[in-house]
Amino acid sequence: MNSRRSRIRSSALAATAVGFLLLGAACGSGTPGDAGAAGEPVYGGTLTFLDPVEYQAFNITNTLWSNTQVTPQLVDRLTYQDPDTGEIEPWIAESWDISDDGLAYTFHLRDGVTFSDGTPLDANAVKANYDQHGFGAPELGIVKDAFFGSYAGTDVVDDDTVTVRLSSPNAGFLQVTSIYRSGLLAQSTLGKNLDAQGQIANLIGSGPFVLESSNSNQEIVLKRREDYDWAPPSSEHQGRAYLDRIVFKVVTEGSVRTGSLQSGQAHIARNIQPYDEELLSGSGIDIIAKSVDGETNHLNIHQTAPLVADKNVRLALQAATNRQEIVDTVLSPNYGVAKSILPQSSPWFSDNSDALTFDLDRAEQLLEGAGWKVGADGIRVKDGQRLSVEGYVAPFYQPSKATWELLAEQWKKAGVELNVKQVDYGTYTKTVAEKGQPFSQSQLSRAEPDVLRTSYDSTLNNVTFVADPRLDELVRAQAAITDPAQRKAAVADIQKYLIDNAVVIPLYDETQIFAVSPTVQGFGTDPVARSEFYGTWLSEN
Amino acid sequence: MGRYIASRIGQAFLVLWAAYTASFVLLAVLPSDPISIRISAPDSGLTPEDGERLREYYGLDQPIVAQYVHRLAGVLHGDFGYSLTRGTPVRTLIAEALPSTIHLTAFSLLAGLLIAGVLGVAASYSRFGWLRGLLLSVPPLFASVPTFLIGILFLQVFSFELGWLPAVADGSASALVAPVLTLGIAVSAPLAQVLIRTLDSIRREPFVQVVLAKGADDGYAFRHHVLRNSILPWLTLLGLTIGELIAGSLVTETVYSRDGIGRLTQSSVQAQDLPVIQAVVLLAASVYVLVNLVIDLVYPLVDPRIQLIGGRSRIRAHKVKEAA
Repeated sequence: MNSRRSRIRSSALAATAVGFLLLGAACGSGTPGDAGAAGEPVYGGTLTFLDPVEYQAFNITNTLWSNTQVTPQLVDRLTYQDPDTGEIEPWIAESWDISDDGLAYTFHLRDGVTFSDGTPLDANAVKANYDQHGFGAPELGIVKDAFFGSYAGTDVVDDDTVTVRLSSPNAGFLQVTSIYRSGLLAQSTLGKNLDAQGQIANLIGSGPFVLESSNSNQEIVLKRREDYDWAPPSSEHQGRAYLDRIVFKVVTEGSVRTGSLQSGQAHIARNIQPYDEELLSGSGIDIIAKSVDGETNHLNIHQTAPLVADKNVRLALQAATNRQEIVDTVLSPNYGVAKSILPQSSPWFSDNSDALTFDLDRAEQLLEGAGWKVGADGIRVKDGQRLSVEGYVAPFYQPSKATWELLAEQWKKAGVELNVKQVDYGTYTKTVAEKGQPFSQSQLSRAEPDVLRTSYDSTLNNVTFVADPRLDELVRAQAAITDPAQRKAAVADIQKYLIDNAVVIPLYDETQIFAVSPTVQGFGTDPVARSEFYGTWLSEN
Repeated sequence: MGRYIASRIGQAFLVLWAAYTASFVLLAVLPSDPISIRISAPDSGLTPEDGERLREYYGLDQPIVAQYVHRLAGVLHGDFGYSLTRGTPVRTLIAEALPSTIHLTAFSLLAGLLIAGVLGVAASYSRFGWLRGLLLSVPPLFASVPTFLIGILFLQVFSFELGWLPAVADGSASALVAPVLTLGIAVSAPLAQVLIRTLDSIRREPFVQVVLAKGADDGYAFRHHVLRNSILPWLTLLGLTIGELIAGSLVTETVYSRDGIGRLTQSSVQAQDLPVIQAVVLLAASVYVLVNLVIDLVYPLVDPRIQLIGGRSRIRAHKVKEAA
């Protein structure tokens, strides 16, 4: 009831907003920005960033995605991942060695790095951080971090050297040391309990920004740390950040985010609706689309459900899905058409588009072959049973409902009935996990192919609810391979297996859309579209 | 009088306890729980086992009655616990959000009274039929236009097009103008409708006709006789308006991205953040009870015929002097 009402409200809002914006555009009130050269970076200024979702606890792990637009500015990591190449580069660790058996990682730390409370970021600090991730701290209410699955402990070799030990080889571990959730925190933070660690004021890191103020988790103001001098060596910019301040503000209404940006009241807005993209770029606002590395947005098929246990039915659904049309009608040209389970932007992507071509004839042939004959109402029937399935709108993805509705239209042409259903956020996960539910829509973001093991290993998330020995073997194999070329081949095998057996139906490459004022220069994100403001500056301030 | 207040305060505690218990039961019977919601977020990286550990940490694995007793005991000692989604003490959350909502609702109530007063008097005293008709149609219009639509309209015109007001609350006084008008318009509708009807009927009362017949002009009659008698229904309505203000602040705070109790409620309900919801319920119920108590105490001051005896108020059958 509640969620339905808010849905109606937001669509009405959207419609009104579009109407007004069109009116505004027609009157020529938009002020096109000039796209000239930005010139030399300048220091100073306050950048205002509008986020669509209310912030929750700021614990470094287990937080909302929205929070991770803020947190990375406060913390540094041992390593830095290049957002374009996916390469792992030095940061707080100047260099590292990996033992031949892949079980010991020795990091040589940069000298002179301090947390914003003045304490040193040394080997002991790294050990304290990693131990809390790897072992949890039950007395503080801190659970183990799933990303540190095979963690066996950290040895302090000397002040500037630590050795992290794993119990089984994990080729993806090095990347774990680069992500926001491995952000290094001061001992004073680590000693606090779950609730206290969730307060951003208690989040003491060594990052280029520190907290200035926060109010009810709806407005966070960060200020520059003046003595910051340990950016990743590969960064063009070194020393303190350019911006004086960053104001993160929660603005839940999409039309208010776009309006604020158009009228120059904010610099960056996240989560721009596909229908607003053209309006904004027409009025001189830059639309920056960042493909999110990890999985594509896709459907997992639960083979425990009766109808989709048949591989031919699954392959038919795969063939009946027109991905180009999803991008054309539900999304915008800024989204990539899915060509595998990994997005095209991923360095580990292998092209499976041949198996993902929209082919209605093939879908019909497969279903005919499986004994499904077209019934009186156009829906196929076999042994008196109709080929009718349910799909639940995933509340985590804004275009989910429109995507499901389009899928229902597309599959109907092949004689498959898809009933689109909706439940609220709280009950969604439970509902799709129920026995007999054929699909769940999901997308895990992490710029490391090990993300496929997290999702499909039957002892981990096991999103398909079946233990497939061949799939287990494939997803585990890549984790033990250290040679990049060999590992890439192993990752390609997983992608092919998931698609060829229609374990998944990829939909589109997950993309974060930022609307950015033309005065903002040097705005970047990490490989999964989390903002990074260290090198950002304002050309007019 | 003393006995009256004492019994009313006793009633108030009963109402608060009932509101607290009802909200607890409602949340307890919901199919999901805050930890499930937390671990189901795609980026949480939490397993169901982690969820169990979190439930233990927050005491959510205890039997429901034990949880209820524990929380109620906490509340009686002034401890509202910690938010399950933010980790912040509930008291801090409320303390941060409350001033903003008090500003918004207090000014909105003033704006609403002003709008309703002007509309009511203008409509009732209008000498032109067409103007009266026009004014009479304003309150139903205000009542039927959704608050968020008014909000978006104001933003579009005054903030995005004219640039007079900030779209997103920045703590300045100018950021309060549009939200106050938005919410003020919403609460003015019923007040205006009631005022127009009361004014019309009181102006037809014989005692007013007598005053006018004795040579007083409309203004004198309005100030000395009509106004005071018209305020009584408003007082009753004011109690209900408080509820409307609280509900309306939710939409207004969301549209204008203002910090406040309304928004806190909305996000907490979405996440089933039990301690926060219950504190907000208690707060809203306290305000409601308090306002209605004050209104009841004010009745006899406005209308001397009303006496407060024991647990209720009653009108003394008393010769009516006003008509003299």
